[in-house]
Amino acid sequence: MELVLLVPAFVIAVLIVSISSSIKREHRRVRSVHPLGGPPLEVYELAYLAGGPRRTVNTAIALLSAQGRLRVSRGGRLAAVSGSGGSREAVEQEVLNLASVPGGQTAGAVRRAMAEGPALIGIMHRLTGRGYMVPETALAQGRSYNRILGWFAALSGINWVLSVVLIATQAVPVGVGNILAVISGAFFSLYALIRHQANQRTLRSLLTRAGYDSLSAARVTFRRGSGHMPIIHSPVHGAYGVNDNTFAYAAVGGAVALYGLGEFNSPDADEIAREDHMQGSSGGGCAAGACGGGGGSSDFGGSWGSDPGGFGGGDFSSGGSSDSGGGSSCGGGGSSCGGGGCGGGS
Amino acid sequence: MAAADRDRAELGVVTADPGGVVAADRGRVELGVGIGWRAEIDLTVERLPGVEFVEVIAEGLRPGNLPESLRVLRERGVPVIPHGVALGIGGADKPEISRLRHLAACAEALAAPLVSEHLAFVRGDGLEAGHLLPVPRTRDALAVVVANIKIAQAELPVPFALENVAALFGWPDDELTEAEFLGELVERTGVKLLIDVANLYTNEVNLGADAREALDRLPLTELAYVHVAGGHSHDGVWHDTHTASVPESILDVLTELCARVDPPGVLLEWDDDYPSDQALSEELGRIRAAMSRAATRS
Repeated sequence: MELVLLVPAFVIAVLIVSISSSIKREHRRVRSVHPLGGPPLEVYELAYLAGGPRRTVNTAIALLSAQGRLRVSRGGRLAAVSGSGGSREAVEQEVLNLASVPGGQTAGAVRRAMAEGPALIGIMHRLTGRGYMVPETALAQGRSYNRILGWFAALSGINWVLSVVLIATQAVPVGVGNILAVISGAFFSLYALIRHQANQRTLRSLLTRAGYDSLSAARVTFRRGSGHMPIIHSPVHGAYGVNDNTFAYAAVGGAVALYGLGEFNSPDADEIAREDHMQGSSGGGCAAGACGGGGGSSDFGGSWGSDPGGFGGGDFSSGGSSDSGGGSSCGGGGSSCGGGGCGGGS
Repeated sequence: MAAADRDRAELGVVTADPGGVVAADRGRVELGVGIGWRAEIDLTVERLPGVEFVEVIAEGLRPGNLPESLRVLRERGVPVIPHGVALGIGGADKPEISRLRHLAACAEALAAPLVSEHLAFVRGDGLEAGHLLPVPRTRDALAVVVANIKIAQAELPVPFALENVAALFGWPDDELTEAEFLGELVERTGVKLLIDVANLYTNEVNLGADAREALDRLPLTELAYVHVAGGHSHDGVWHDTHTASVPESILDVLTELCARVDPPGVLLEWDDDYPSDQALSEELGRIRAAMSRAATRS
């Protein structure tokens, strides 16, 4: 009876340690894909690694707005600026195409439409093929192990409660073995719970070690604040000092790609971050990361040791505004009624 | 008081105050140079330098829930003028009271110095034309329109201005020119004029109505403000689309107008295919240049 509680506590502890080790090994195996060589990652690839589809689309919108090729109006409505031409970047061109419909589209609608669009799918495949990301399926085993760890955490907790009750009611003797069982039970329950939660976060990220390393390197090049160009109050749309300044343009792109719209020093940033009313808080039906961000920090979507955050994080330092975009939309309708057709203008 | 303000006061001219409440000697409200506010370019309008007033399509407004952008502009003291497109004051029927009340509510919500509409008919017998159609310029029609304007004025809390339209066609039995017709309306009702120089140009190109001659005959002392817009020429027909840069020929008409009268306000209309902020700013600059050319010419 001296060891009656210690035996099951020991067995559960072994199971917890064992499954935790399996998850770590699986994690390491999945993340250790060796990247293929090739050109350095470009801004939209970095954006995809840092914040997923949502960050990538937001980066394109911010850059196009800064260049004066895309107009952002209140409520996050986007419209292609007439005569601004197309883009060689597939992501930018897709944004421009979607914003070229009469009356434009909201940023939220553009993000949703692009989530499954060819430009983002292309980036995802490119990053996966080059070893910077893994497909969702690669994490299935790790996630499955983590579910088991969750069950073990629950089992350990139940065992601990039971042990405490048995000792308190003196159904078992208060010996060294049983006391040790209670102490170790508490420790391993807590350990399992903490590891389970931490794994849940890290298993959201699809980045490989090489992906994290690339992000780290990019964050040295583009530090926080590097996209904060002084606002020049000039009539030039998006005249945040970037129109004819390739370096500054790259800095804005890099900063928004890596850290989110909080780095876009423009009143447009708040509007771009808006979600539509109908979007609510569910974000259902959208590709991962495409809607509503990951909530909270714009940095660390996944935490793999001290790695920089990757895909899965939110896109705006406030966690992505989901408040009204309404505002100006009700004042619309001007275009169709004010303009005239042949000779019929007002 | 600054010298310029003193001069203007001596001339009996007042500027729309930040609250939009205007008490103008001789009914003149100084507006300056402005642009048509549209939801698609709301932030652009807010940040364009030198926008001294805006005009908003009244039918798209909810007076109880104004767009944030318009509230921002009003807080800055920028006058906002509700501009109707569907009243149909030139129709044979009396103007609908609900439409007039909406215009009045818009004017009050925006603390607008005036309300403007088109001298046009837009519906008849329950059918919507979908266009701003010209009024037959006969004595009988004049009497009807005068009565309609008086009904409108009775409902509106601010002065009412009427705009000349770009006509798709002319009625065969017209007894008066457009300038004469507008002159009679001004004389009989005290209605203000919103002269669209692009429409004068359109009527000149498409119908042969000389724009300068019209300017000579219009009662420009009752001018509330002026519209300017670009368009496209297709097979010799001018399309007043409000989607392109204002051509020099239309700016010339503006210069001609400014040579005859100092307009209280001039507003650029742009309704679709919006160009960059820079392009819009340049358009406003071209308008100012055209206005100042009149001063140097005289």
